[in-house]
Amino acid sequence: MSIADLFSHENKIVTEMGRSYLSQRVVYRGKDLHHDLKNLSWLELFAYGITGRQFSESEVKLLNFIWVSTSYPDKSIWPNHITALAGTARTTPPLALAAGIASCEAAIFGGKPFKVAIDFFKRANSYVSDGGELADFVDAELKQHKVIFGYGRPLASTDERVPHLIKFVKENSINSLEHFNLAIKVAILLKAKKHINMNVAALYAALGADLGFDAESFHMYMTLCFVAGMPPCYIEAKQDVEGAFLPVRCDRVEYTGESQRPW
Amino acid sequence: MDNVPKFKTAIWRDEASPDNEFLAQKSYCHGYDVYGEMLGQASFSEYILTLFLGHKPEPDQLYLFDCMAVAIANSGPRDLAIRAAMNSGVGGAPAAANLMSFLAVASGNYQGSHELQQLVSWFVRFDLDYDKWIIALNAPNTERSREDIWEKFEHPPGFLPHAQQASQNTHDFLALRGLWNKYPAISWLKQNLENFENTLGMALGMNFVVAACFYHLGFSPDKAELCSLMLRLPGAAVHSLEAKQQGWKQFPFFGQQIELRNDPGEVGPLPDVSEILP
Repeated sequence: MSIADLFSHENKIVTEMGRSYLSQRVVYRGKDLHHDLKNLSWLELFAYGITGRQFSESEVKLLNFIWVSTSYPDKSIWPNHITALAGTARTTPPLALAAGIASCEAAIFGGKPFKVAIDFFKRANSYVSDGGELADFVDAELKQHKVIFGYGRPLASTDERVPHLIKFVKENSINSLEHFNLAIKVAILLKAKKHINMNVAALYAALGADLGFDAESFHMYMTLCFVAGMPPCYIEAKQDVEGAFLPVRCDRVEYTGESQRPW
Repeated sequence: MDNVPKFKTAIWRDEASPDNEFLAQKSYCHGYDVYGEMLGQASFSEYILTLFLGHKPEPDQLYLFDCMAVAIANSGPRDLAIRAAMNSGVGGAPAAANLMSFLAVASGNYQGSHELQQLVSWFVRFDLDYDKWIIALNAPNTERSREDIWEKFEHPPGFLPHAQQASQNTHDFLALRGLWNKYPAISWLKQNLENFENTLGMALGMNFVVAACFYHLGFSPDKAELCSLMLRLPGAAVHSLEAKQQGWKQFPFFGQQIELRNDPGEVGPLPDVSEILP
């Protein structure tokens, strides 16, 4: 890297991702948006934009199921709570949703678990394919990191999405389930070893790996996975009395800091 | 009400008004009466430092903080994150969208707050041990044992991959009397600047100096990351407003500068809808 890199990039955008010829046509990753891609569902286009490949009908159905199964219009869940606060504070829908989406890139749920988990399953799969024992791999991971993302859940010990997703996978013909099967085996190991249950992040990530996503593209694909739960939270808070979403009395905040002192 | 979830804070206490339990009649920040005593006496910087440190800052902390805050308050319209704010502002988006755009771009590994967080964490661990710093800077991803939402560093944090010598602005910051002669990390950076640049083959950036300031202020890496984003917002605010006021016709648009490498060409004509829309 040097100043030459800046000179060579000055005043030009060199791309293979696309451009719009306004008033004429749009090229989207090598294809004409209005002709070649016009019949894709929005979700298919989104996945194509991330990976550059088009998924089969059953794969798209699975990708769609993943998002639908985790869209909870529950205002107590943190990102949804933000959108409800935005509604009660009478800010705009895009600001509310953008904030909600950004906050899903969390460490205890969402963004980080998804990305770390898909990488874990890919590494585990390579290890097992090379003749290693899955239990050894899991032990080494636990020794190094103490937790394996996708197993254990804040707020609840089991995850209702897991049986629904397993049922969906079994009822639909998904071509490769190598990582999915691995996730189930890890679940059985961890249940016996640490008495913790699998949460759906493990299955989402494993299926992401089975669909050919790498960690980075899966990270991006899952960015919007919770968003469909947010509009109802915003709308209802906005329909209700202004500023009245979970109001907090002064004495409902426990103060643990310094006593009163002079400035 | 006792089984109702309750917030807990060591920072802030509101005393309820006698006639309205949802309205504060007095507010205390780390024990200081905000509207009764701080207001009119505390400067903005004093207040910010009080919030982050948990107590009224010492005069030398205040001076250091003010110097740093001035140094990073605006990076100008060429800065990547400021440009993000301007691109939001020029379209007339809400003010919050302009600042959110700035924050997103200012948060990363390249001259961003995540880079700064890494630097402050190394200051905490290495202090001024040059050899340890060189080892870490030469291989900044060594401790990364698995995937993370943040990508790997593509350059030694705190350095500018597209420059070989620090800017005069950075030199001026390091040479400020009252800083280098008082704060060991600043004088250490000043003394070792040439060694660092020769060894790494690139210029020392402003983020490294800012990290040294946060280190001396006693900010944790997380506090430094957040506070730096906050302190850089003024530039984003005014440049996004300026872009909005200037309007899109005056704002650079790079449509003609796009070189598409894989253009399939015209695949088909626009639909003929002249019967409906003459």
